[in-house]
Amino acid sequence: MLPYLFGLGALLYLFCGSFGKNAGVSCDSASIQGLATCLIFGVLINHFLMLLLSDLNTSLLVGCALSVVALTLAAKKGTQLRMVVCPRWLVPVLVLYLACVFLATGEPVSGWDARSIWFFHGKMIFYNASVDAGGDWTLPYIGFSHTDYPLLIPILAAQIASVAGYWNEYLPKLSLVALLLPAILFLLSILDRKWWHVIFVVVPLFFLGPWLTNGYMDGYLALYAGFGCLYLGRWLDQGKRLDLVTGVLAMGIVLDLKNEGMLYALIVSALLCCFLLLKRVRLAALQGFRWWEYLTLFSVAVSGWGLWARKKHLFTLKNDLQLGPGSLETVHHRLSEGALTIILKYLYVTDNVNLSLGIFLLSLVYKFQKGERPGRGGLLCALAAFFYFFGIVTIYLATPFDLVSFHLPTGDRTMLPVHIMLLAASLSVLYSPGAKAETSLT
Amino acid sequence: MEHKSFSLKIWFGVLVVVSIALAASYPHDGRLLRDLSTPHSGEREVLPPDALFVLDYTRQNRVKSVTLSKRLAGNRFLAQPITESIYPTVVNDRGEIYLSFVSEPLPSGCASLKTSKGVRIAACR
Repeated sequence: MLPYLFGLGALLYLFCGSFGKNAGVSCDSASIQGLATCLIFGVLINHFLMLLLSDLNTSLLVGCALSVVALTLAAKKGTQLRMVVCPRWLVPVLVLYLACVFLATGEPVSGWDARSIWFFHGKMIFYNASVDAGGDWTLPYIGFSHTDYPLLIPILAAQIASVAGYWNEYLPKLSLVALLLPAILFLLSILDRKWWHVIFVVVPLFFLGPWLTNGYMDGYLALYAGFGCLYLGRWLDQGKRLDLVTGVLAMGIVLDLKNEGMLYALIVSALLCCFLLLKRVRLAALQGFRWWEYLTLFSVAVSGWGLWARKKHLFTLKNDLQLGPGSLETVHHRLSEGALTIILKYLYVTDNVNLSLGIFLLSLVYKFQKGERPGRGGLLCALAAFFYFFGIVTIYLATPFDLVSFHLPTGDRTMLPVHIMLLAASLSVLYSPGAKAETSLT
Repeated sequence: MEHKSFSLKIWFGVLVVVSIALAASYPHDGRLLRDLSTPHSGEREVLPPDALFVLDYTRQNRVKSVTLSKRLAGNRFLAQPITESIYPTVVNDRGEIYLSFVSEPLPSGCASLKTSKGVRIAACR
């Protein structure tokens, strides 16, 4: 799986060579970030191919051919890809990969969401050898399975089972490694600055703990939502192209993981536009990019979401929350019942959002005490967390299902992205170069 | 020098992750390869006994579709594990076999084929 995704990821540096320029000197933190970016680009390309071609075997064959061609060309031409390949790190990356396999496949698929949504969808794709699942998405008896949910992990799970030739409750969980390994590489790239930053590697791993291995998507949604904000924020502060690429691709992963990804992508895109407009950024950092590179980057990031939206339309798959103008009445009714206080108390206190907010505020105090101003990155992450929090609160207010027994108990995992985005905000605040570098993008 | 220091940090990070992985998978040590390479492994560990009973029957008899009684379909703690575990056998209204709770009366024209503690498998005309 690793060489396959890496090969597909190599297309990023083959077709969009200038993206790798900031990878800079090989064997540094930017190289690790570049390698992880390459892998998630591979994941997105694979997802795109499968949704475009529908057939499992055809898409795998096309993917393998593309991967081999890309790796061969990269090796021959000596492109920017060389900057992310450090022979010295081959052993640690392989050790990491094995550790990820251990983590992801130690337990069989057992949680409800994992069994009845993600890996059930994977099973449907595997047995029909097609993303259309022989039209079974429309069967009334599988309505409980939220058939409208995105297919990033189900597709990978079906592909792995297809290569092995059988389905069981362990092997398809290897699909999680495709997201876990790049996530850990991103976390390790943070270690570049100071030793004590290891806390930003350990805390998210312990914090998300079982959510990264139990087959639920919430842990990955949180991690990649955090990465998206962190790197886009860092791009605003420092203007490195690789950060923009990583941020956009991480946002693409979030879009393809869960429906909440749409809320996240909407918020972060709007915030990014506001920051660029308000700061009157002349986009100096974008100079040197070619238009097709932008087009490739954004197309790949949203392609999976777009293609799945089309298929959902064809299969007339609807979300059970049925959010729309009609939800206003439910919101009004819930507000008049005093549900807002209950939701806020539950999410803010019981699900410990106050704790991550506290960490963010402490990092702000530390920054101000040093006499420095935090950069835009920290603000972007914090605002994204804030709006995402209120987006989820609004969804809870609008839900047609029972709030107390059905939705509030899921608060521990729906709040994970808020925790990680606030943690990313703290890291951005501590990382930002201070007031001196405020004008780096202008 | 700077690169050497970063490599050390990478190794340190790798060790942290490996430690977490080993700690998390310690109770299942040694079974990983067997679990990964065995078709259908893990089903016994995670499925309720009644769902396993139905799964074994549908697999042995190559059943393509089943029908759930109204009461069984209404019990999501059993109907959902049955539906997702027996796939590619699908649940529909005109299945090859009829599944109901043992305590339920069989519809006319149905004959019991096999019974577990809680679930009955029947064939209906």
